[in-house]
Formats: sequence, structure tokens, C-alpha cells
Amino acid sequence: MSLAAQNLSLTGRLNGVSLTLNPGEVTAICGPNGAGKSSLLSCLAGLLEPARGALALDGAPLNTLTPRERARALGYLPQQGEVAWDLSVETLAGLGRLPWSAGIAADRAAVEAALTALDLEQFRARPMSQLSGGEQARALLARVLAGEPRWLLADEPLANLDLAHQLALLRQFRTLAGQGAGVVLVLHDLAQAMNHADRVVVLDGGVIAADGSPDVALSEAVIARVWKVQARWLGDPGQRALAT
Amino acid sequence: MTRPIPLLLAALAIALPLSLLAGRVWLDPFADLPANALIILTELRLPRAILAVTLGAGLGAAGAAMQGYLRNPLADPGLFGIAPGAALGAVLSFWTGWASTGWALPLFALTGAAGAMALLTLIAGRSGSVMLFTLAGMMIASLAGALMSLAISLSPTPFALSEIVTWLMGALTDRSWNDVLFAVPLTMAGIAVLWVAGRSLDALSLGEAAARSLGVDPRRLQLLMIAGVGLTVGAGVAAAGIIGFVGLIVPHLLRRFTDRRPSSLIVPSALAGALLLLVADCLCRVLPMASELRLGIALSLLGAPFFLGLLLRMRRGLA
Repeated sequence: MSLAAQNLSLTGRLNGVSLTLNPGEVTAICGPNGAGKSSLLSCLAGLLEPARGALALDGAPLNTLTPRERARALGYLPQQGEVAWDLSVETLAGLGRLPWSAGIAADRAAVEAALTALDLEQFRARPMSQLSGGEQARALLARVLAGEPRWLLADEPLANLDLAHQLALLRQFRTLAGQGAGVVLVLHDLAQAMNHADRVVVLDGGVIAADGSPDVALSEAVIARVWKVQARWLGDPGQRALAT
Repeated sequence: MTRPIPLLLAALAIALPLSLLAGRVWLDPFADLPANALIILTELRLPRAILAVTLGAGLGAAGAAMQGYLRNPLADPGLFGIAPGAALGAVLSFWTGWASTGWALPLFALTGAAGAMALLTLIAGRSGSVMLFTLAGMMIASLAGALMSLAISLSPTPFALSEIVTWLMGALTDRSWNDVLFAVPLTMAGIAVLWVAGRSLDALSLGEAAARSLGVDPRRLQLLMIAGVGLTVGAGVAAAGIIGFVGLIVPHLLRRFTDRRPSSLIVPSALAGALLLLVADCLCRVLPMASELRLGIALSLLGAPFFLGLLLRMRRGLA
């Protein structure tokens, strides 16, 4: 049960990236702008075909799965949470069921579970345009969760959220990992990655600059080398803050 | 979600028989009918009503699918260049003088539509990108428009010129069962294809990347759109000329009565498009004018202010 990339290359964006991600873990992908974080996530989600290298889900090459099989296993939350029409929260969450043909009852149960998990029951009939930014982010995540994926791949899910909503979403990611799902997040906020991830992969210029537990992969030396910033970690483990 | 469907079906069930009675010669079922009533009904009004319902349904469904595909409430089936392609084919049939021979006109128009569809498939290539596809459609529309103007300007006879211009205005006047014979199966097939595309269009509401992550194959969706819009719009233009705005107005009016997913808008838009074209065609028949108002003109007269209203409302929303 793993999601693995072997020697992944994408012209101008990734250069020989190899990693094996484990279910039950929250993995953060960090790196400066243009490091290839979103490209790596898109490759892992099967949305970008790498120029070289291979991707495998549970040992099977990712490109041998049908699009629907892949969609059931890998839930992807894009950075731009656009919704073209002013859908209600419940209808939006229901879109997560598109790869499935499990019947109305199963679809309804999955949507219900997603809305409950994200505390959105009272907003179910409300159109997206009438939600706050934090509620919209939760509704978009509910869409992914309704698909009951074994892997959640989210591109900067905390961007544009206030601190309380960031923490609520991070708790949700932790719960999902606790239930056995693999969670992969592209994160810009190094403190969030340090405090909330089990593993951090640091990308720089399309290659892996560090990979390991947050303490190791986001050490002050790595930050200095990759981000060219002299920073210091303050506070206790789990509540670290970055001083620059 | 499907609330408008029973209502629209009921309205159509009432409007269709009534439409058979309306026209220059009013048929009053409770009074003595004129001697030629049966011929008027079976040879003139029935094929015309069936065509209005069919073409309206095709345009409505194509409009709903197009707006879903382009994620834009201002999208119209004409944007893909298929309608201008079909119109160019029809114009060429007048230009060559073959239009009057049997099936030549619809065949030319359908060939034009198929040509536009093939070009779209070729240009958009394997990318499945919506933007590239739209630009290709606009290019084809503009090319077909230019070629049409060229054909008109080089028109061999004043008679051909007048026929082309009249035909381009779009109408259901004097259509026969022959037109029904090709337009109905093609349009129905097109609507079925668009209905199949519905789930993928729903996923596309979330953007192209999210749609692909939900298992949508953009290339397959693009082919479904080309086939669905091509069949409905191509058959429509081949049978009645250019009839605009139905595909724009109808989905827009109905969206608020559905759950706003593109898939749940396709069937209601087909029904409402059928109703709109049927009623508009009746009005064209009964308006007291020297010659019958062309359906295409009537709908444009109705559609343009609607479009303007839409833009003004959007502007208020943006302000």
C-alpha cells in the first residue's frame, strides 16, 4: 500500500525525483517558489505524464489504471478552488462521487459522511457564493472526501485561510491519516509543516533537497541552504515557530 | 433537481396540438373545417411543428452542454463554428444551383457541419484543452463566415443571392416530411450524445485539473461535444437555416430551477428549447404582416435584448 515515484523527470520542472509515500502518514511537500512542488503533486495524482520515470500505486504502474480506477484511489484538491456554477454544498460534495457507480444509497452515505466530517451539515443547501472563504475551503475538501479516496493530494490547501481554519483543516488531515489514508500536502508555511506533518519532502530546483521527519528535513541548515534564509526554530516540538 | 421537466412536458403537450391550429388559416376544431384542413394539418403544420420541437430541443440541449463545457453562461452553440460551417455548405448548394434538387441542400449543410467538426478535431488535436478548442471553433466560425460572404458577393444570379439571404435568416416555412426524416434522428442522436457527456461536464465545473482527477478523459469529452453539438446544430441549420439565441437564452433561464449542474440542465433545456421554438414559430405565422416574419429574425429580436440584460446584470454583479 504505497504511492511511489521512481526517477521522475519533467522538462524544466522535475529532475530525477524518487520517493515512496506511505498511507497513514501526513507528508508535506515544501520548497521555494518554482521548486516543482505542484508539478510533483500533479504527477503523483496522475494528472501530468512525466517525461521520464515511473509512478506506481500499490506496486502497479499508475498509467495502467483506468481514469476512474485512479480517481477512486487518488483524491486531488487543486490550489485554485474554482466552481463554475453556484452549486450548493451538497451538490458540490456529490461531484466527488462521479468516479463511482455504487448506487444512490452509497453515494448519499458518502456525501453525508463527508459533510459531517467537515461540520458542514447546516450548510448543505447553501450555495457556494454565500459561504465564507473558510467554509468554501471545507466544502471543496468535502467534495474530495465524498469520493472516499485512499490518498488525498492537496495543493496548498491552507492558502487564503485564517489561522483557525488552517488548524481545523490540519486536524481533518490528521484524522484522515489516522483512518489509514495517505495525505500529501503542498505547504508553503514551514511552521505548519514542522508541527503537523509526519514527513517532509523538500524540493529545490526540481530535485529532492531533503526528505525525512520534519526535524531533519526542515532543519535550520536545510532552510538556509534551500530558502537562503537564516532562520531559527523556537518553541517546543509540535508548537514550533520560525524566527527569521 | 428535475422539477422543471414535468412542467415543461405538460406545457409542450398543450402547445403542440394548439400550434397545429394556428396560422394564416385558423383551424377551429369546434366549427366546420375548411376542405383542405387535412392537407394543411398533415402536410404543412405537423411537419413544421415536429421540426420546431426537434430543432428547439437540439439547440437548447447544445446550449446547455456548451455553457457547461466552457463554464460560461454566455456560451452559445454557434461558438464552435459548426453552425457557420453548415450554413456555408447550404450557401454553396444555392450557389451551385443544386439546392432545389431533392436532398442536396441538407446534404451540403450536413457536409459543411461535418467539415467543421473534422477541422475542430484536427486542430484541437490530442490536448483536450478547452481554450484551444474554443479558439479553433472561433477561427472556423470566422473562416466559414468569410467564405459565406465571398460566395454571396460572387453570387451567380440575383435569384441565388435572394435565396441565400432569405435562407440564412432561418425559418420553418414550407418545410416537409423530408426535412423531418433527416433532422429528427440526427438531432435525437446528438441530444443523446450530449446527455452521455453530462457527468463529465459536471466534473468540469471544478476546473480541468479537478475534472481529470475525477476520471474525466478530456479528449473523450471533447469528441462527445463535437459529435453532440455537431449533430444537433448541423441538423438544425440543414433543416431551418441559422436560428440563434435559443441555445443561449434557454439554459440561462432554466439554470435557477435546477441544482445548477450542467447534466441536470440538458434535458430541461431541450424541452424548453422545443417549447420556445414552437411558440415563436406560431407567432411568426400569425403576426399580421405582409409576409411571414422569419423565425431566425424573430428569435434574434427576442434574444439580443435578453443578452444585453444579461450583460448589464453581470456588470452590476462586478461593480
